[in-house]
Amino acid sequence: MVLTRYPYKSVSPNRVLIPGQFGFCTVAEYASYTLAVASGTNITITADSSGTGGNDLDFQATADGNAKASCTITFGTDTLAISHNDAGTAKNGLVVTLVPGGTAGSEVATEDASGNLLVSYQASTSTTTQVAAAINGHANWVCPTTGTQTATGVLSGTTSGGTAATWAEESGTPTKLHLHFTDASTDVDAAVAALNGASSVMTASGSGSHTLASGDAVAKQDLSGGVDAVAFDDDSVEGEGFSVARSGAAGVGEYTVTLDRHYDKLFCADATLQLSSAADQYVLAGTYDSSAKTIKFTVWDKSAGAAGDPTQGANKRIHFLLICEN
Amino acid sequence: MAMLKDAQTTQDGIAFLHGSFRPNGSSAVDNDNNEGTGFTVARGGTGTFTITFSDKWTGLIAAGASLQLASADDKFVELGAFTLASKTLVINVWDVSDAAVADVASNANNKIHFWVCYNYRS
Repeated sequence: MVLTRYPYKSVSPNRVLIPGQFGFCTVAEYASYTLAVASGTNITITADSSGTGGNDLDFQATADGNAKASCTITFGTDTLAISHNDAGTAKNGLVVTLVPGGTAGSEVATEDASGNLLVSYQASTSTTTQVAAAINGHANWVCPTTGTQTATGVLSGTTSGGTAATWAEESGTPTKLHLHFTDASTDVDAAVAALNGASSVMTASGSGSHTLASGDAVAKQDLSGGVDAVAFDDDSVEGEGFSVARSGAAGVGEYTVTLDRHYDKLFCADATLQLSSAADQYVLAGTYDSSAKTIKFTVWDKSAGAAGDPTQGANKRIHFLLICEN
Repeated sequence: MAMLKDAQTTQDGIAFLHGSFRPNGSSAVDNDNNEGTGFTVARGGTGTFTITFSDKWTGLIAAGASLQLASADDKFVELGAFTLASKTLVINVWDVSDAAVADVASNANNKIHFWVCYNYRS
């Protein structure tokens, strides 16, 4: 169907209508995750490389700092779980040795000059509970294991797993940065320092002497918000008599329309946002500069309370109509 | 009375269509209440309206929409999908406080105003 068309009239002389629309582009954004620290400044972990690849990175925080060094020794079919009483890394690498030759019920635990633990027991007679009791009798060691098993021969284990109050590790594919902290002891400064010392692909930020609490721990979390840059596509422009370019800072959906010629006045500027899925965003006309022949349009994100970039895609555009004086 | 003058555009072969329609709550739009010619409107769901144009179209240059309410409210309209093959343009009503699309009650002063500028030449 073709409608009859009529000349366009205006109540004012010399009016020029300039309609147009254009799509969005995106700037590269860095993926990040913010750990909410209840007592004060949050810690933000940001991917070192921009783009969507950063969204694959993970972060985790657990309140398991200051772990104690420990080892296990198989005793019959029981497993003696032996820990040093001092937290930290200093007690890693100590050797716990069970040596036959003692007397059941009178097992003896002693340390050598290096802090290694020697426990004498009676082969085939001393029980798990009796050996553990001897270890518990030493001021520096603990063994909660109980049982009636017996054993023979020299048995030994080497302690490991003792950790600092605050430490971090980076591992796995995709890469996970894992913060280990101590409740009411690790402060934000220490956590950030540990994270930055451990990571080669992420950077932590935040500062303060307030401490993390157990409630600040989080299971594995994905970093998010990484965006690949998409250059502005001139082919997305509909309309004539102007050009469009992205302007403004990264992450701010500001575009500048430059008119091909000078107009004495801008009488009216109307702009409407088109989104493929409705959202609480709208577009605002900004500064008009008659000498530069430019007008800015900015997308406002209502829920974020700030200017923002819609993602690039079909049916995502800014439409405008400028009415100027020729 | 002011004498009407010819207006100009920066592009040849384009036409403007202006119109308005009355939302009707959760019911279908009554096209007898439309202002303007060359289109009809159908409610496609909560706060979603599809305008179907009848003129020959070869492309959409630009469009705009605004919401008229008898009582001011925290709603605004935005454009949705445009489909050239069917000559349809979706307009959504967004309710800020509900953070969702929303219907607008029927009222003589509750209207969605819109304009489109389109190519009519092949």
